[in-house]
Amino acid sequence: MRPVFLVTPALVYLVVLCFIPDVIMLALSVFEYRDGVIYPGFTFEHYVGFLTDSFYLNILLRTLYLAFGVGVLTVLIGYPVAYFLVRGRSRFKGLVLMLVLMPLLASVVVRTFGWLVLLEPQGLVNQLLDVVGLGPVTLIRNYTGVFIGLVHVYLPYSILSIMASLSTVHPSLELAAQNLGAGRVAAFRRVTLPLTLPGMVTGFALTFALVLSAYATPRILGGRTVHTTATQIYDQMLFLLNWPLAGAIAVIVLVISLVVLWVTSRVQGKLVIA
Amino acid sequence: MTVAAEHRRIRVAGYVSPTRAWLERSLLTILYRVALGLILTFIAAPIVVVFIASVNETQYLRFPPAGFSTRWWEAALTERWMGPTWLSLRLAAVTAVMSSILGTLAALGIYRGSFRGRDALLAALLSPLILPQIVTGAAMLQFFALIGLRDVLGFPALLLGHIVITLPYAIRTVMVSLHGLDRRLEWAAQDLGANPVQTFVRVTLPLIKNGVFAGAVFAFIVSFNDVPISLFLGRPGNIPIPIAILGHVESRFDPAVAAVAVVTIAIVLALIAIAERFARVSEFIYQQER
Amino acid sequence: MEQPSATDVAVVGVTKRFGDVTAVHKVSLDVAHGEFLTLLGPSGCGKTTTLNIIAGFLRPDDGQILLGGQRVDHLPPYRRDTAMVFQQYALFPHMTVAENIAFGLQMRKAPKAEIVTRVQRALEIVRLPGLGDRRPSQLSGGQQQRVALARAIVVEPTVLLLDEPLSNLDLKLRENLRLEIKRVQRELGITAIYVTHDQGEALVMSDRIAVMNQGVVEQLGPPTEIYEEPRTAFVAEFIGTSNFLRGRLDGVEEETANIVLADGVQLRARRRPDGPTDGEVLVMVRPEHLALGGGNGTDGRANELRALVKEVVYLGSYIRFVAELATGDTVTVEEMNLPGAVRAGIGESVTLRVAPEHCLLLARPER
Ligand SMILES: Nc1ncnc2c1ncn2[C@@H]1O[C@H](COP(=O)(O)OP(=O)(O)O)[C@@H](O)[C@H]1O
Ligand SMILES: [Mg+2]
Repeated sequence: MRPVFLVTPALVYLVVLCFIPDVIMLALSVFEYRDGVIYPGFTFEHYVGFLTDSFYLNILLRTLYLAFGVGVLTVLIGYPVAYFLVRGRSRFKGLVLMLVLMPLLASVVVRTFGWLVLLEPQGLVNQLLDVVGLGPVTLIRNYTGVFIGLVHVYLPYSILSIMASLSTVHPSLELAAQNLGAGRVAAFRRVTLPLTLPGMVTGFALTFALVLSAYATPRILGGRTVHTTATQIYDQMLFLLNWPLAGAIAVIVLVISLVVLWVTSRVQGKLVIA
Repeated sequence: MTVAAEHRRIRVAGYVSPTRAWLERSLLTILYRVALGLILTFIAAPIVVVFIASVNETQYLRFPPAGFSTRWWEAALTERWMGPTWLSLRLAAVTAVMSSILGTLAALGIYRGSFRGRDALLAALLSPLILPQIVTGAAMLQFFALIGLRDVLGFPALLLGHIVITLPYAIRTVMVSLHGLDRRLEWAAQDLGANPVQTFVRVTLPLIKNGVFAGAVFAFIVSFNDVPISLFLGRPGNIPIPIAILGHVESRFDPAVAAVAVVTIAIVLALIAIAERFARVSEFIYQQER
Repeated sequence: MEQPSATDVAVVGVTKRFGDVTAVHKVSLDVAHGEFLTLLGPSGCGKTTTLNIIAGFLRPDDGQILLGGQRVDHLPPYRRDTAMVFQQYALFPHMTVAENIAFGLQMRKAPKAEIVTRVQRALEIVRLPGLGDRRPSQLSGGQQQRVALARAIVVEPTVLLLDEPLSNLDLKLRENLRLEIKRVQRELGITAIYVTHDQGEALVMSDRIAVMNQGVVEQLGPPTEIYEEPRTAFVAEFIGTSNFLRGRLDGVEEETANIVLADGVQLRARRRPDGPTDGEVLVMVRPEHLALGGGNGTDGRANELRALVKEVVYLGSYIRFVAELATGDTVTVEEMNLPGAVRAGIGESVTLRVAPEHCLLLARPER
């Protein structure tokens, strides 16, 4: 009846401009590709190629490794901030919240550029390391820089996930544990931490999936030497014009992200989306 | 009771001196605060340095800063940078309006509907949030190319693509507002003689205004800052500002970019400040988590 | 006076199902012009559903709705001349009090000047003059409900629908406002259907009460009839306090019946023409009709029951005794607390007396 009618414009829009293109991409990824020309066909050679060629496989594994590391670190350093924002009684809370949300208002490009300023061979971080006597360290055009940048970019997502989880745990639970003789650390470790595990898992899963398709940060801080699945999709699409291979990589990234988010959603009984 | 008599009481860990208790406490607190301070510095640092770098005398930012200069701003406020900024601004504005219209209608339909497959439909409408955006961008480029619409690349394609990824935000914020809307208010309006259109304009819309506004603001910000879609759908001389910056910093280090970055941040902040005057937009940041 | 016979609202055999639940089953009601009809019943018995069907928010599965003699069940709410006062007030939070009240008039395209005066007058009627510029959130619960009332009456609907309008308010305010609503309704001569689960409210306000149970109207009549002549055990139990004695019918005359209780005691009771004719029955007795104590003043007609006092509750103007009969049934007796009244202590064996006309024969509901 009428309600369905209201949904129609948005649905048709997405079908035409999102779902059909996705299906086309899926189809292209099994087409044949010879000398820069795409031929209709049905072959898994692009998938097989990507997953067996050591150059590409290496990119995939390194990206997964990167995603895992960034996911873990954002949760670890996001937790204290989330805890402060939910439980803290400081009058700086509002300010800290603004600080945490602020990066979400700036483009990834802008934030990553900030890291470029900091991490450059002659940048502030190296200057600081110099003073401490740790000498100049190469922090850009390699995975280290990309890693630092990505942690910064996705930290807010983890913080928000953990905050959401933390705010469902009543503070009295921790007090009850203390009242039963647990120290503050034990009360936190035995009560609050397990109860906020869902938030941490969500934060990790979101970050993991987002890193797989992160383009700007690897490109800016990694230069042309660091390759990730996302930069590969772009390069195959626009420099090498190998659309079938680009499609295959995209499908692989899509599948991995969906599986991670789906498993997390199932475990938690709710939808996990960015 | 006899059982109780045999039962040995287990006591809590026991007595520690006040000094030790105080030390334990302070140590914990200090550790926590130091960690917090370091993390917050980490969060703030790259944005702060962008501001400083934009007015720093020398090309490379060193400590202490070399001196004040407006030369990067002079470079930034030229057609080379303001062209893409203006394009992004228009793009984000149109995206926000279109997404809000499509999204508000869709959210109303889903919320009101009692048809089968409603949950699946909602999931489909929100799916652009789950699909990796770089995949969406690449797929759209292939799509436009294959159906022979390479000509739309540039503003039209960017607009079409940005609506795809911002639509879910609009739908979700409006859904949140609708959850908070008492159905009986619309009943009351109809009972008093308002037809469906009058009910929507006079009662429903004013009451979900915050959600619609918030959705539009989110859509604007997402569009204005977007990389993965814009990466594929622009064309030379017709690219949005994040892609312009990306292309530039890939090849060289130029503090003019810092000034441009400050301009983009200022635009977003100004937008939020303006929007906040019309509706409580900020409260939706939390409600997004659901 | 208006003609009392004109029917403003007719509900004819209306049925509404939600999945497996039959919320309303073949409900029929007639509301005369200017009448105040109350739908009374426990929570979940289908009162709101009935009201929503009249207003047009719900479509009945079966039956008809007539407003002012015309069928309206095919019409959407905004084409029906009803006005509802909701339980949670449902005031538009983004409009001022005056804008809320003006809404219905604007929808009816009334001239601006007239809207202003009528809103003013409505505010005076509900005794809130000068609060027109406030927001609903700046008003107390009682004031909000007055605004809701004003918003409904200002459009002069064929029927005013009120869905438990007082249930969110505290007792004092409730008692106050029920008189206010009644006054406004009477002064304006407006036809009203009022939903409540509060029997006190129903008895005080209504011209007629429809007692509902599980989607069915069990009895429809004026308050005195509902209280004094309940037709079913449910109605007797729901309105006022009732004692039920279980027994078997043992002979029926025109207006009386003989009943034998489980312990063999004989009882005479009043029987309505449509009352049960044989089998297991119930005898209903109100606590105030049971008298404690011996045979003085007996005319030989009164029923006598032996009972053991289990509990004595002192309630100021009267005293309540809870006593157990030999049959195992428990009865409540209320005695006025007058000088020289009969007293009894816990554990004491007493005789209870009740006139046959105060014993009402009822069918025993199947359980
Ligand atoms: N929208 C609905 N969907 C399903 N069941 C409903 C709905 N509305 C009411 N019911 C059911 O119908 C019955 C009557 O409800 P209602 O009319 O609200 O009762 P009352 O107002 O007397 O408390 C209840 O059993 C209730 O659970
Ligand atoms: Mg009800």
